[in-house]
Order: sequence, then C-alpha cells, then structure tokens
Amino acid sequence: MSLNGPAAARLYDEHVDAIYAYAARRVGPQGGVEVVENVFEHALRQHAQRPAHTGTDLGWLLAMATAFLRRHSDTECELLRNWQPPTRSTSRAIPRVTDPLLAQTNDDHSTATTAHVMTAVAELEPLERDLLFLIAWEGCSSSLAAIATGIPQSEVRPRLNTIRKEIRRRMSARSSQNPDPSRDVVTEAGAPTDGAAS
Amino acid sequence: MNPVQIVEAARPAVGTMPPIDRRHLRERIFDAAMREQSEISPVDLASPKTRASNAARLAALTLLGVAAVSGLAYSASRETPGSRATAKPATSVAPSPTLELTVNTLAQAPLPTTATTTTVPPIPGSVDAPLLLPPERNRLDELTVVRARLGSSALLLRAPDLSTISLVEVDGLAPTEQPGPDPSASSTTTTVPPRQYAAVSVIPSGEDAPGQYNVEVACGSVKVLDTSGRPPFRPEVEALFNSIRITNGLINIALPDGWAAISGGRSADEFVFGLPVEIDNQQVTIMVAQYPNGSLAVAGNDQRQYEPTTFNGQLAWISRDPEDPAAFTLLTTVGTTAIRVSTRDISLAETEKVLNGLTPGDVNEWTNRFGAIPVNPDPDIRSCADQPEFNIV
Repeated sequence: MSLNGPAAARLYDEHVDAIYAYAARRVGPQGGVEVVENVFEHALRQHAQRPAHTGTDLGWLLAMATAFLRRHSDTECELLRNWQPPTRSTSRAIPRVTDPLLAQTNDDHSTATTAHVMTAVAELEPLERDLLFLIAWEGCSSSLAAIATGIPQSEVRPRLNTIRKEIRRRMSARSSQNPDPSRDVVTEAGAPTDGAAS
Repeated sequence: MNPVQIVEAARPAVGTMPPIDRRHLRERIFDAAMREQSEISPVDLASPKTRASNAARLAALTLLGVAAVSGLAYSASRETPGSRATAKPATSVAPSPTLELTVNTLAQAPLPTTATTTTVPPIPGSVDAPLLLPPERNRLDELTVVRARLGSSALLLRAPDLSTISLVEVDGLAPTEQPGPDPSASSTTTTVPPRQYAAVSVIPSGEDAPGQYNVEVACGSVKVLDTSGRPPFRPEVEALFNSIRITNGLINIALPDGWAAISGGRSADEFVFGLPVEIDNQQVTIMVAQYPNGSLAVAGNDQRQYEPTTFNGQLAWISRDPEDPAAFTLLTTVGTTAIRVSTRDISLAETEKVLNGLTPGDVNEWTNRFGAIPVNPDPDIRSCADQPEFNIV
C-alpha cells in the first residue's frame, strides 16, 4: 500500500507537532526540524514496507524519530551535559513575586541536582535514553514506548527501573570521586507519574 | 524525588515547529507523495542523445505517424452523424437494443470532441484553476488566506483629476443610537459633526485615518477611501458625495461628468503568498494576493493611487510609492481572478515573467499544499433589511 498525496498530507498534519516536540526536546529546535524532515520523508518512501508491529501511525513515526535521533546523539549529550533550567515565562498581567520559600538557594539546589541527573542521563546507553525520554518527557504508555524503541512491552518497566538505578549509581560514583556539598541526594521516595518505573 | 521524576520535571517546553519549516516540509511531503502516486514518469531531461536512442525515437515517431494517418483515413471513410443531408431525425426511429449492441461492439475511431481532456493544461484564472501557485517548492515568505467578508462589495472609481477613490460597503447591523453629549462632563476629544450633502451625510474618520470617510447608511457601513495626503473634503470627493442617493440600502451613484468606474465587485476570498525570487543576484519578495472570481476593486480596496499601465499585454493599474520609487503595487486580472502584486526592486517585465511562471491550480491544490483554509468566522449579524449595495447609474 503506497501513501498517496492527501494521505501523506493527513499523516503529516496529524503527527508533525508530536514528532517535532519529541525531537526538539531532545536535540533542540534545529535538530528537531531535521529529524521531522527525515521521519516524514522516510515514512513516505517506506510506507509500503512499514513493519506490522508498529501498530498506530504515531508509534511508527516515533520509532523512526527515535532512530533518526541517534544521528544527533552528540548534540543531545552535549545539551544534557550543559543542561540549563528553562527560563520561566511570566504573565505580564500578573506581577510575579518571588516567595521566600522559593528563594535562590532552593532553586540553585534543585538546578544542581537536575544538572547532575542530566549528566548521568547523557552517559546512559542510547536505547535507555530513548526509553527514559519517551516515558518521562513524552508521557508515552508502555506499549507506545515499546513500539518506538523496539523493546518488548513486558521489558519496559524493568528496564526503566534499571535506568533509575543506573542514574543513581552514576551520580553516586561521581559524587564519591568529586565530593560537592551542593549536590543533592536523590532519594528512592516517589515514583513516576505513569507508574512505569515503579 | 527519584531520577526519573527529576528528568520528568525538567521536561523542556518546546513550541510548535516554526511555521515556515512546517509549511515548507509539508509542501515537499505532499509533492513527493503526488509524484509517487502519479503513473506518468517525469520527463527525463537528461537522457543521453546517443545515435541508438535517436534511431529509436525516429522509429517510434514513424510508427506514431503511420498510426495517425491510418486513423485519419479510417475516420474520413466512416459515416458520421450529420454527414448525410437526408439523415432521418432521431425521433422517427424507434430505439433498437440490438442495433445499439451492434454499434457498441464495432471498433470506432474516436469522434472529434471539444470536451476537456487530461492532456490540456489548466488555464490560469479559469474556473477550474483560479489560483496561481508557486511552481517549485519555494520557501514562501508569507502565506495567508482571508475569507470573503459577508455581504461586502467594493468599487474603484477614477475622478476627473485622474485620482482613484475606493469605496467599500459591508452589511451589518443598524447603527446604534448615540447618546447625546453629557453637558456636565468635560472632554478633550472633539467630535466632528457629519457633513450634509445632496442626499447623504458623511462623517470623516478623523485624524487617525486621514482620507477616509463614512457615509451614513441605515444598515452596515459604507466607507470612502481617498489618498491620505490630499486635503479633506476636496472638490472631487464632495462631487462624489453629492452624486450619491440611497434608496432602501441601494447606493445609487450617478457618476458626474469626467468620472469613470474602474471596477466593482463583491468581496472574495483572498489568497496571499510571498514568493522570494532572485533578480540579478538579489533576493526579492513578490507578494501575490489573489481573489478568485473577484474584482480589481476588491484587490485594490485601499488608499493607494492607481494609474493605468500595461501588464502582460492588458490594461492593469499600478501604484508607485512616492516615498519608495522602487516599490509598486499592481492590480491585474488573470482570467476570472483579480490579482494584486506588491513588490520592489523588480521591473514590470520581470514581474510578468515571475507571474507567468506560476502554476495554475485550484483551491483543493492550495489546501493540499499549504493546509486547510480558515473557516469563515464572520457570523451573519445582518439584522435589518436595507443592507447597502452599490449601483452605478
């Protein structure tokens, strides 16, 4: 079955935002556009050979995006290692008042913790990174993440658990090599909102 | 928090894909899909002109020629309807299923037909292809579609001093009663009283919109647009107001001597794109606004001053910007479509070339390439019967 003009346009219109957001979050806006281009051009060419297991269009496109993102691994790791907290956009209508409880120290502390986690994420295996971001950033279900990564669905949760432990292990190793009092201790408490990592 | 939660909390907020990239890619995707769908292979412009291939071409042409001559000879030898002067009228013969069957089974040379075939290229500005689309997958600078205004029409007039004056009427509500001024309240704003003419009252739009006038009507609105630099209520404008009579919403304009109506017509959907082109190694953007089934009056419904010119061998109207002589706005028509071209640093001849290089297409093709056109957001708020409408008498 080939993808004709209107069907290609429809596929694009329905999913371009999701694919772009996924890619841009990981490799930035410029890389994101490149990945979107690669994904849809490939989708058009390979539609006839689309694997049966890819299920939904979104799953199939995410799988391709995940594959194309590998070409940008260096950029992604660079971004993760130099992670910066997103700038907060404040409403012009409501004057922003910084609560003392949310003072600079707390912000700095959590920023440092996140930066260390992100550095550890950059050191993960690419497949583990794919799974982590699909679940944590894109809110994918286990089945969709399985389609996008090629990991069997039954292995998604155990794999995520392993990733969590691996990040913690890397952070501990780093902190023992280079003790830093500002570094936060990542606790075991809490679980991801979708429960996939519990 | 566990590490996965920390990652989740650090999720970067990204906006949507930049519109220009999104649109450009969509065009490429759609174009590629259409090419793949097409059964006709693209013409191989780079095929080698070897002796063998030339011989093959010659043989094919010879075969085609023989087939064509045979077909013509066969066609000429056949009796066609109407070839006999004594042919019986069709109504005098009872239809015979057997005869029909026999006729249908005979091999017949095709009869000459005037019907449109797929090999005929679409005619620019025709009902089937009212739009001009960029032929290549250019990165367009702008792309908008504005739907036609409900019950609106425009008129473009030329005064004896050769200035152009544009009029626009829009259907709508009856004007609300304005409360009288409160004598106790002091105000710094001055209200300009309406001017009374032979049969209409006119209110100038004020200092923020020089050269614009509102003609008082029972329903909706009527606006007259003169060039902003001219003195307010200049004689030509006053002559125009004196020539207007309104009867049950119909705005009858008895054009005074020396006046001419350049164009008039109802509001039409506006399709705009900005096409970047390279002229003498310089990047130039040509803004093309198209109004299928529209008029020059709708395309040029502004305060510019237009003068006649020739574009693509036909009468067109051009407005040159006194502040920027390299810039111009041109009103022209291609078939049934009115077009407004705005650009700078490019000659009319080069603009002709660019416009002639555009591909005829229809709204479906526009939608397929650039996405859905907006739904008309104008609610029908017409609450009174005497809606305005122009009529030149």
